[in-house]
Amino acid sequence: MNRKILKSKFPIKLFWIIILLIAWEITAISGIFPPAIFPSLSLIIKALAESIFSGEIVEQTLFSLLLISEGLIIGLGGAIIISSLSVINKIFNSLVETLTAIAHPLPGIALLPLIIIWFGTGTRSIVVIIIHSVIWPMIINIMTGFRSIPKIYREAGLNMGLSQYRIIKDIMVPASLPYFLSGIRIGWARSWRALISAEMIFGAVGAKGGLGWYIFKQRVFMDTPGMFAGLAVIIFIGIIVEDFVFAVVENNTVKKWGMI
Amino acid sequence: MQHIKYDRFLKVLLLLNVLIILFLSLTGCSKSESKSEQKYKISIAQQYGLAYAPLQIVKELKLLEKNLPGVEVTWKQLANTAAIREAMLAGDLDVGFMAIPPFLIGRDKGMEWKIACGLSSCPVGLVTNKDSIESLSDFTDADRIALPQPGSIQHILLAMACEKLFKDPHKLDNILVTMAHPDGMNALLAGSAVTAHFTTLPYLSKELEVKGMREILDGKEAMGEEFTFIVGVTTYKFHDDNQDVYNALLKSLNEAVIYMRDNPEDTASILAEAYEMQQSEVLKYLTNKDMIYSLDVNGLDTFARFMQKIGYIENVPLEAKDIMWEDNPYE
Amino acid sequence: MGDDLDKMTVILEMKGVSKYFTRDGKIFEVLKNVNLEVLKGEILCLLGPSGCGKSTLLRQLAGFDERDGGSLFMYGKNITKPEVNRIMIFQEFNQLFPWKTVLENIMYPLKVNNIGQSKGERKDIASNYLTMVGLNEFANSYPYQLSGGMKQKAAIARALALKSEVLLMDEPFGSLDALTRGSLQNMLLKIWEETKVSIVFVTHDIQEAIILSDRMAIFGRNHGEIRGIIDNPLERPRNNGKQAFSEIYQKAYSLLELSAER
Repeated sequence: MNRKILKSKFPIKLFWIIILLIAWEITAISGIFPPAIFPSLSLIIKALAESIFSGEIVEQTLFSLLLISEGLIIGLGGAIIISSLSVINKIFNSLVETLTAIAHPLPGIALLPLIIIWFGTGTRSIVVIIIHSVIWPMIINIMTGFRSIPKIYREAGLNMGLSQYRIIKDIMVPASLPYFLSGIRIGWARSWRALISAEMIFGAVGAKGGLGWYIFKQRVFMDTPGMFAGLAVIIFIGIIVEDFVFAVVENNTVKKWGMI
Repeated sequence: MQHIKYDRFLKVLLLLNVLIILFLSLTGCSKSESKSEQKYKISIAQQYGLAYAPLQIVKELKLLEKNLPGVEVTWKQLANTAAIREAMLAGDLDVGFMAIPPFLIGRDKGMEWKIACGLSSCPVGLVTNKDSIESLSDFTDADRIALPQPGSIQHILLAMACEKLFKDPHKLDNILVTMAHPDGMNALLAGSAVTAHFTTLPYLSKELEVKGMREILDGKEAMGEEFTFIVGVTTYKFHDDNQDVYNALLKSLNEAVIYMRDNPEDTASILAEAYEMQQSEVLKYLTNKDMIYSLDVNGLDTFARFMQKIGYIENVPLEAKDIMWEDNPYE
Repeated sequence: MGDDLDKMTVILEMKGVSKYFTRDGKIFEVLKNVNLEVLKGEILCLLGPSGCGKSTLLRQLAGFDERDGGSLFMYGKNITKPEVNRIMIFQEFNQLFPWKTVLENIMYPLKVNNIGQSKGERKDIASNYLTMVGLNEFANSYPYQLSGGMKQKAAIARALALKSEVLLMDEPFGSLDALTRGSLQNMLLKIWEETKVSIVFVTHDIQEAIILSDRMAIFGRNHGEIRGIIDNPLERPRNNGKQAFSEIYQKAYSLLELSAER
């Protein structure tokens, strides 16, 4: 029975989360630290519930998720197109490699002042930062994936009379899917971080702001439980995306196909 | 979870508690080490800007060291008001200087601190170069107003003006953009990102020097009375445990204000070096008629009532002594 | 007699094909002016030690690689690129696409080549060939769930479903254990009898060559030359207990020995 439970990662994660929460609560109740530093769970839950019911945190979370989806989709699409073109054209490939080497190590936040000058202070700039955080690791991963495809797939494909287009679409893309997925994972993590920090530094346009802005606002108004409520939402989304979205996609593709 | 033994569960729990407490204590959240060995100690948040000039004079002329020989002064650099407030909460900082609204927010959230003195009053204004904008009512949804952050004095002043004009303090909240003063100035001058900038000296003057820029609202007009821009705030703990240092601090600030009034040229020279500005420029700002250095505090009650009315704080302090130390040793 | 006439048709022809590799500034001749004919419906084995150039020759027939001299024809037409009428079966087990089931692996190239009017028809074709190689019950498995031998069977079924006229087999059973290899050899012969597909089969195993081939082209080590061609008219099924088997074995062996000595 023990083993059965251990097999799935989620219940064990949940178990440790509960333990940590209890430990947190005991520490908070002990009164060693003032509530403004170490608020109790009940305060945090109350703050969370209040902002869920007022719709504030829901709206701002949706706003963040909307921005991140936009950035992720554009970044992903761009990375796929750029990587495919690099496979076809050697000169383009060397250009992309150079650009990646230049841009990949640059944290999006470091580009913020430049991005404000170029794209202003609206949501467009945040999307640009997200695209920047996603596109380079995605290109690196997709190209590594393409390069790691066994020669035999390509030859078998040529032998069956596949066109260049079909070879990319029907062979190279699925064959590099494990790299592709880990690229999306990295892209997601990086863009999520970029989004939250951009929102915190940048602020937002008035009431329309994301989760990072929400946390920043709680900080400005010294609402420590509210800050933790914002963090809880970030953690929650992280776990949901990892354990449900990514795990489900993997189980239905690369794991099902025995590729990892 | 019956398969996990109960006592093992408790042990894990206990261990985690100890770890949390240990971690927080080590990283400096609880400041309980005794101060008995070093007699006089003070740590102050260092801030740049003309509004903080007396503080710079105290530092450069070593007035604290003069008034309290043997005192150990630590000047700390922090990014913004929120960081200062957090440092004071964590016990890392004894004295901070900030505008009245952030102080009131902290006070309302239970921070144990009070105002020790005023520091300066300073022109604040909303600047734009968009032809179609003559007053607040001309802003559209496509416009953007840059200001430091929600809950900042600029934000509250704007809300006051909106309340007067539209009977709705939040009328323009949807077009606000949070930016530090230099970023806001660059964005306004660049012309694309923001339409207007609510700022203070020296950015205010710099912006107004540019052709086409004009001030459509000033702070006094919005507030309807004179108000202190920057106040000095100390924690209960510092005030109660270090009376000598507290007194020396106020005495030094007072001397700095007097020095600045009596020696504008020298002051300008000292500040020019510290701020890396032209001496003539500094002198111009110092002698601006609206740039007033004084330890008096004005506008506290108006701010508090307004902020309560629009929901930024819950309680208005009943009496001045609730939020200000009453001992004014410099008088 | 009609059968014999048919066998005389030349399906693949190789004239004076040369291929060089340069490594560390030195030139290696992998194929040296090779001439070879593959007859329609025969099993031709290319037999030789590793590194002799037999796989390079097979890849030439497939149209995968450039060459440095000579020409190649299928039915008298120049071979310039890989085509679906000559399908390569590799030694590696991963020639199936892991993201498709066994059935889909066979149906996909059918669709690309417009074989079969509908999906249902393509499914029927694929199932037929899977039955032929004895894999029907694994139709919906993914390749990673199959053994090495089963993967090779599926690859053969894929080539046959495409109505390929020549199977180019590059030591396809070389990584299998002896028992599995034997059963796959039998299966291949059975299919060959049924379909009369032409097969060029590369191997370094004399016994395998004798069991399968109508003719054997013997390579010399490191020379990229065909030392000789041995006819193998033995009655099928062949087994190595018979006198005639040993004679052919000796003949092939001595040609190989000869080439090894030089």
